[in-house]
Amino acid sequence: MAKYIFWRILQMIPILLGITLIVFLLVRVSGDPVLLMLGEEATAEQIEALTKSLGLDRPLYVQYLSYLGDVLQGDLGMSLRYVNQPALEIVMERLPATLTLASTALLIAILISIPAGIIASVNRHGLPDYLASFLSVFGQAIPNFWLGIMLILIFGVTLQWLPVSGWDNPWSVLLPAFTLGASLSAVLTRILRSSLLDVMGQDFIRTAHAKGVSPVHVIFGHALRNAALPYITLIGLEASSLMAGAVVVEQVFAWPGIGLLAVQAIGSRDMAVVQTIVLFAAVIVMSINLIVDVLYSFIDPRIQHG
Amino acid sequence: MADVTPTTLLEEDRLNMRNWPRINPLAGAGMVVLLTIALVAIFSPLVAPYDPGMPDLRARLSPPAWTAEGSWAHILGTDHLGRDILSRLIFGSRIALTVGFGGVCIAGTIGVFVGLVSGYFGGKTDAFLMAVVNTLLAIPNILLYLTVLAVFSQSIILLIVVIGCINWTAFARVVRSEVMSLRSRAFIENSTIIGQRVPVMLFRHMLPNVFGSVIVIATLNVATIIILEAALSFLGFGVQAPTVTWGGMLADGRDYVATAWWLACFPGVTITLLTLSLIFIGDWLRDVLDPRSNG
Amino acid sequence: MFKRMKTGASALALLIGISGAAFAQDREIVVAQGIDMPGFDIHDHRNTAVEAVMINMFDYLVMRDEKGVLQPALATDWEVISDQAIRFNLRKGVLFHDGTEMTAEDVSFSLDRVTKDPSVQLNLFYKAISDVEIVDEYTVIVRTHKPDAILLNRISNVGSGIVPKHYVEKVGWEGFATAPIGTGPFKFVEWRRDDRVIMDVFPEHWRGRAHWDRLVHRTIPESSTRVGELMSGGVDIALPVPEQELARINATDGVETKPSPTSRVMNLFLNTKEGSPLHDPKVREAVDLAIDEQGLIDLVMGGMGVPTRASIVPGITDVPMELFGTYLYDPERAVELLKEAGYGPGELTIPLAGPKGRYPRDAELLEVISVMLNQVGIKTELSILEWSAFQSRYWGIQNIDGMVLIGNASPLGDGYQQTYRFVCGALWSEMTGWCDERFSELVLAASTSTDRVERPKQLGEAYHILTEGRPILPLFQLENIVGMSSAIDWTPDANESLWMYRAHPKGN
Repeated sequence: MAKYIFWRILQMIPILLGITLIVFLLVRVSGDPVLLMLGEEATAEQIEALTKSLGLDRPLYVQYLSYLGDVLQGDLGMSLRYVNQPALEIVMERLPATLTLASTALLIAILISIPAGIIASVNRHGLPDYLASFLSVFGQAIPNFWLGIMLILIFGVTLQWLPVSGWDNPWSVLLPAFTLGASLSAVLTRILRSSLLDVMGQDFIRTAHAKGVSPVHVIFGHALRNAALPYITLIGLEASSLMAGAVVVEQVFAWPGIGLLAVQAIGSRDMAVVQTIVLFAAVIVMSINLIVDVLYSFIDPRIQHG
Repeated sequence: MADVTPTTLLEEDRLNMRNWPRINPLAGAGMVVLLTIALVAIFSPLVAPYDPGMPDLRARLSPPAWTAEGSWAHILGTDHLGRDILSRLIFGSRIALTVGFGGVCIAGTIGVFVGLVSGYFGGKTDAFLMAVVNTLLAIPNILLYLTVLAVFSQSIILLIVVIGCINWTAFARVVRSEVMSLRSRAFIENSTIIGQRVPVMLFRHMLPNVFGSVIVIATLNVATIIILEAALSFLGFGVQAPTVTWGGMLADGRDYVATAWWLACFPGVTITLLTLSLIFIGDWLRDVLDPRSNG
Repeated sequence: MFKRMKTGASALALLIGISGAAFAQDREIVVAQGIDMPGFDIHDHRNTAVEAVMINMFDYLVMRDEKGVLQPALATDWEVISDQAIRFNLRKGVLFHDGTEMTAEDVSFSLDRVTKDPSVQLNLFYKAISDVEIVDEYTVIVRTHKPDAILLNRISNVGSGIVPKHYVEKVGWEGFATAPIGTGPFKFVEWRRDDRVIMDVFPEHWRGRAHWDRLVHRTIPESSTRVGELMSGGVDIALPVPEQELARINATDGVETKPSPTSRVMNLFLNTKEGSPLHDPKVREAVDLAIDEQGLIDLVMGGMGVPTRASIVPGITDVPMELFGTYLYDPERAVELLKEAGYGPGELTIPLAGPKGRYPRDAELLEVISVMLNQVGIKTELSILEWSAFQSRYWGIQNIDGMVLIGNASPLGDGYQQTYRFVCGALWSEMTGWCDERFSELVLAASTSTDRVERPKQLGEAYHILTEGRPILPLFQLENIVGMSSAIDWTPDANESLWMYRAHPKGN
């Protein structure tokens, strides 16, 4: 297993290189950051001096290699928007907020989707099934920022049950996490329902039924375990959309994570910060995928990693 | 699977394509909605009661017709500049469909091509292409969209191209795995022996066989793209005025949620309705075209 | 926040049995804006909204009161010793947040960097200052390169904060940017980027202790969320508040709104260069006559704003106020002028560009202006871009195609600020291709004039030339709305400052 994990981490390296190349190119085509830094009344000398000091006058491949070298040394550049503050530090201090939000959203999605999926599959073509199916399609069809604004209006402003925005206390995370988790719980419900139905149609479950094992026992003893594989796979696949969703949700709730930082950074052309966020987000997504793969082999020892 | 003869398999696939099950009511409703929106988009200038960009000071924030202060002059009310919301929705349908289907066409083309090549040739080609796919999958795509749109312009064409160029990974993965499983079947071996050239073989034999899954992904992808456009508009990087987009209307209306609900409500409902329809149609298509999966 | 704080405080009071008087002192005030700090380098930002927060931690030598009148602050009095020098007597016994006393050394050090280092953004306003001489521990003389009528305006503005020399020398400006120290009524505690800046009261502040124990400045980019926080008591003061929320806030118990006029005027910059249709003064006049400024204010801004024919607002010195509060609108005449210039209806197309998300309702303004121009027969090619994209595209000299919407603020509070860039060869003159000899002469004369009688005449004539020449079409003065808790006594002032020393709980 250790060997497998090591191998998987090695496989991340070319992908990370690809990502650095993409972000580097994006930043370099994004125009001249110097003008943005200096403002509209900058003199030619000021522009030239800053261009030189940022190393923007060198050939592109030299800039890329030097960027790569800096990244390896943990130097991800200085923020433009936060004058003279290192991008790495700024992004690092935001990670806890995003990780809290994303993991709470994931937890909410799991807590909703497992009972919903089970109820729907047990009552196939019954009212609960249609209700769950419809709600889960709805969860995918509704734009998440819209859902967030509605939740603020209902639970924050009208009922005043939950904090509207920011990260003051533990309750603050509930509204944004629910907003972020809604569409994930929708897709998870769908996949759980359909894979439970698949599994329950298989011979060994029918045998279990025939042997007189109770339906509840069948679900929890056998079917759920077998339906877990596609479910977990999907969580891995959705990791990236969870991070993407956080970008929008954090903006709605003024949640001080890397998503809010990313939008503000892109808006102010703070490219060192944008690069750092993309790198971190990619590492998070890849780590989730790795965890999913490892979980896989625990659940289903038949899968061999070599 | 391995002992099934090639001919039976091909015939079985074709049979499944022809063997359309009954349209379920949800998919039927979805098709009606999609068709209506498409017709409205084509005939926008004829259907829309007003010029969607024409402001009217006297009709500012007029509520929908059926409410107490509403008037039948503006059935769905007007926005903060006194513009007719129904007319804006009607013209917005053009952008929604153009961006949705345009993006999917580009994404589908790239994705299918990459998937075909990757799945057929395997080896290093496959490894390289899959590394590209995995790279794109690891980056939360919205950051790429935002950066590109912020850097260049926020035009429809660019939006479509960018969406197309980033959103193709789902196509590539599915097509690749289907091609791989097809390739292992004997009939491809046969056609190679007969001496067909690779492109002919890829497009004549492989493409028709993956077509079903591609259509399913494409339908669901249109829904994703329409929501994505709304999110980009929300963040301020969507297609800009004077072009009317549903996402833009929704984004502009968000500040009026508490005071003039109809500004954001109707575009929100329209987006949800269209995406719901597409998801229903997509699910149904999956049942029809891909009987192995259980939707 | 009021509600929550009070319950928290009373629980605490019960717990340790402190007296009612101490409990009444335990107060927090929360202010929310849409933007975050770039850091606390007082010389390296150009944003009034940022200065509005920083001012709670720093003092200037001279500061404006709520009416915009200059009042003694760290300087107790000053004397103009020549048209190029002012002597300031410093207040004695002023303490920095670290407990050390402020002296002439600190004043000289603070102003020295911003006047001499061209790499900091605010150098622009300060480079007119040549040196700050230390006479003795409590006296400095500030000198300018040339006679300067607005020296006091300069040093009572963004970037004029006085900082402790020994501290900056120890931690550097980089260190200072994340842990600032000043002489203001509140001292820095913590900054969580994109979330909040937390400041505690500085009890030894020279004016006396502020009414609040804690000042929190929050960043909430979404205006609906910001208003939601205000209505639910999460913040005490929120700005800006969108115009449509006015009625809803005012109808709610415990919260109210107040108008907050800004020094920002929305303008159209026109490309008057050869080859542009706007090269013809008749076409420029037609554009001016086609736009109904009051209509824009009523339709787009919800009635908030005052039309103007020059980039001026009340309170700015030496400007011709007869150009403020008025506008030209005559669509029939506009059609005639276009005909005289050789354009029939629909024959003229002019590009119109502007940002989205920079100024209140910027995109909507552009859309409505485009419709107004259409109505007199001018077609427009409208391009609206997200602010950063707009910035990088329309930045620089050659980039105005036709007309561009830009808002200009006048933080210096003097008429020179909106004219000097139109002097032949200066930035806006190059941008618009407009150059007028007489205008340039007048502005240059005014720039070094300290004559309080002649200077208004010079700038007045210059403004009139600019208004007639029309390289720039001023539309209206922007007016913001501040939403606030009714339990707080505070009025937004003309400087758009959020100086919470002046705010206090009602009934105290």
